[in-house]
Amino acid sequence: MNDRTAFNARSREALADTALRATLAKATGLFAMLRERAIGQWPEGGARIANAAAARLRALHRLPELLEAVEARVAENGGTVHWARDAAEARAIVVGLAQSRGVRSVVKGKSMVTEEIALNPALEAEGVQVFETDLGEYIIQLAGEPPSHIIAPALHKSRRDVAELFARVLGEDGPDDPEALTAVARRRLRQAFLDADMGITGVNFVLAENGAVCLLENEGNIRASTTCPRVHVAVMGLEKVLATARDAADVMQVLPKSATGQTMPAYFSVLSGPRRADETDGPEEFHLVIVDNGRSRIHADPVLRPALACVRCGGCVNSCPVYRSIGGHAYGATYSGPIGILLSSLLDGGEDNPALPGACTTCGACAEVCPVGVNHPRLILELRRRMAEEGAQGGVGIAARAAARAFALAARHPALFSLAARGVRVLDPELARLTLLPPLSAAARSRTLSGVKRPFSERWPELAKRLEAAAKSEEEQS
Amino acid sequence: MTQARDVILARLRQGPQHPLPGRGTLPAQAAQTPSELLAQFGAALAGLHAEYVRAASVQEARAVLAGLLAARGVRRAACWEHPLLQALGAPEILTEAGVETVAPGADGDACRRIAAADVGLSAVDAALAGTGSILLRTGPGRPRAVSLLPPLHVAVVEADRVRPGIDDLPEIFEQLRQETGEPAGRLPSGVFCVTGPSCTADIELVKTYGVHGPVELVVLGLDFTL
Ligand code: SF4
Repeated sequence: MNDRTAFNARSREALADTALRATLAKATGLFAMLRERAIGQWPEGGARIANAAAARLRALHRLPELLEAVEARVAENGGTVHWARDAAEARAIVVGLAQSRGVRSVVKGKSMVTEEIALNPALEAEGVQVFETDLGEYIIQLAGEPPSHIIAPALHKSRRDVAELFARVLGEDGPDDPEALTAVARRRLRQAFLDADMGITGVNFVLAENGAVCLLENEGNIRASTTCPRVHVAVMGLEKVLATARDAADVMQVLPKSATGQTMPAYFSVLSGPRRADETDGPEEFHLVIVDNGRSRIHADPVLRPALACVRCGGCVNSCPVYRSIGGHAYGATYSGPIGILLSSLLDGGEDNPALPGACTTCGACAEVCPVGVNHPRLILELRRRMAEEGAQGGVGIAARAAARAFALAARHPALFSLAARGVRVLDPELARLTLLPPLSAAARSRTLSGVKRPFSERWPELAKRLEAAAKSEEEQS
Repeated sequence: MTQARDVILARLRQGPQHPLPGRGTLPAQAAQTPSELLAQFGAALAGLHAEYVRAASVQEARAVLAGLLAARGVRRAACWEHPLLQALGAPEILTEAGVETVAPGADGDACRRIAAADVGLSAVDAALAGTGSILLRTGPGRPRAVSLLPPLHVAVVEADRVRPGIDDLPEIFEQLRQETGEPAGRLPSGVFCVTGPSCTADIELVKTYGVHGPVELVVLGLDFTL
């Protein structure tokens, strides 16, 4: 369940967790600072972002043609392409490959799309042992939790949490310093790499001109997953295509800088099919699984297509005041933050997440940092508008409509928005809450307001009047 | 399967048509000599928690390699079969130091053997001065695991292999394709752009080295022609 009530409950819980809030503030602040130093203050930054955005849009606008080229080139490289319309088909393909190849254990590199299609439980149900090998993913797999951040999935865990987890689950007692804990993971997972029959990774992008799958990482676990096991399966959302190596270079100029502030990640691997006849390591088989799961619907949309330009740097997530307050888990979906609102609403199953489009103050910080020019607030606004329309026809419902109307009103009054973005309370606390919109309304309630019993939709007409009046006086003052 | 493929492609073809945005041009960079590029490359590496050593002659390069083996107490090495390493006399240096050389073998156990080595020795196909990156391609005698599984990776790079930066990647890929005799539109099975040692910051954002790959990366820059 991920309706408004569930979402607000998780938000309230997250907001009450002071340790979590401190971690979030530290982590998102650090990433945002690193990003700002690497790209925000780079004289060429603007021109580089424009080139990367253009490379992504060109690929999206030529997508069917480029995907066919990918299929042909991957086959020439000795690999096999599989197509999956939805999560179930994607799972069936990978599970089928594991079964037909007698796979007993799998090592996995960090991949959001395999989270999206819930691949691990499907493999485990067939008796395949799955090791997440990215350190953060390994930690949350041991803890039995979903990732909370695109780049740093275990952002919410302290060193003490990790030490306790390793002691409890692995029987590894040791000091709780990050270096010692990392050494434990290295030792444990090294054996897993050497024993595994299959490596499963995501794809950062695949190049249509040569079928090369490009993967970025710092740890080396993706390299190990694509070097040691005899089968490599790469799973990609169908939008992750670039036409040429030039386009890849343009994206490489901005993606690592935006993600972690690095000019290059430790490993940028360009993989073209299985090992060749005269090579002694690398996979004997290579499979590329291309997943739709709602992406073709986004692609066909006249307004929302640019959401598919995302290269998953996490920049918008770190910039987002809502994410900074509630963290990734509160979203209750695979993707969190501004891009998460879009993807989790638009991909298959998005109707289960009606509360997410409200989780945005439209402050615009996300669009400012995006290295490929995604304008999240504009797209989220469009989502809200459509939900309101559907609501009027008896669809998503009255709550969504009221929230969207509140939003539309506030959008006409930027002064109110800047107040909301800064988290400053206007004189009327309930108005403050309204301009923040859910789930920040939950945030505001837990900190500043006693619970209001009447449902939002009933209170709306009266609130609208007060909001109009407040907006007018704001504008007169400024 | 074909059904899924055709359905997906048909859906994508129904999408609206848009004009393709163009690529903007950037100000041209001043040309640098190989030695200047090598110096910039070394400086970038130093900022990456990697060690950079410059050698001005074959003798110096050999001394550096022998010194590394002794200082790190290396007993077992995994070494690429590469003309540059041959020309430097790497195999003899290893033998003289009493280091056992691991043969990867074609029986599917290459990774296990290479993982048991204390050092991996490779030669760089191209390097990026701006980022301190080295590029290594696959091929016969060039196992991927050599630059990944041993705790120490030593890579040798000739000055004329150093290019300015990320913008040169497309030409480097094309050069590697031609060097390996691959047809147009087909790269070697793996090209690895390596920038510093393996690292993570997944626990409390504390930077830690050597999580899955090498703890230590040493790059030996050859500022002379063999
Ligand atoms: S939408 Fe832009 S900023 Fe957000 S994760 Fe994707 S690429 Fe990064």
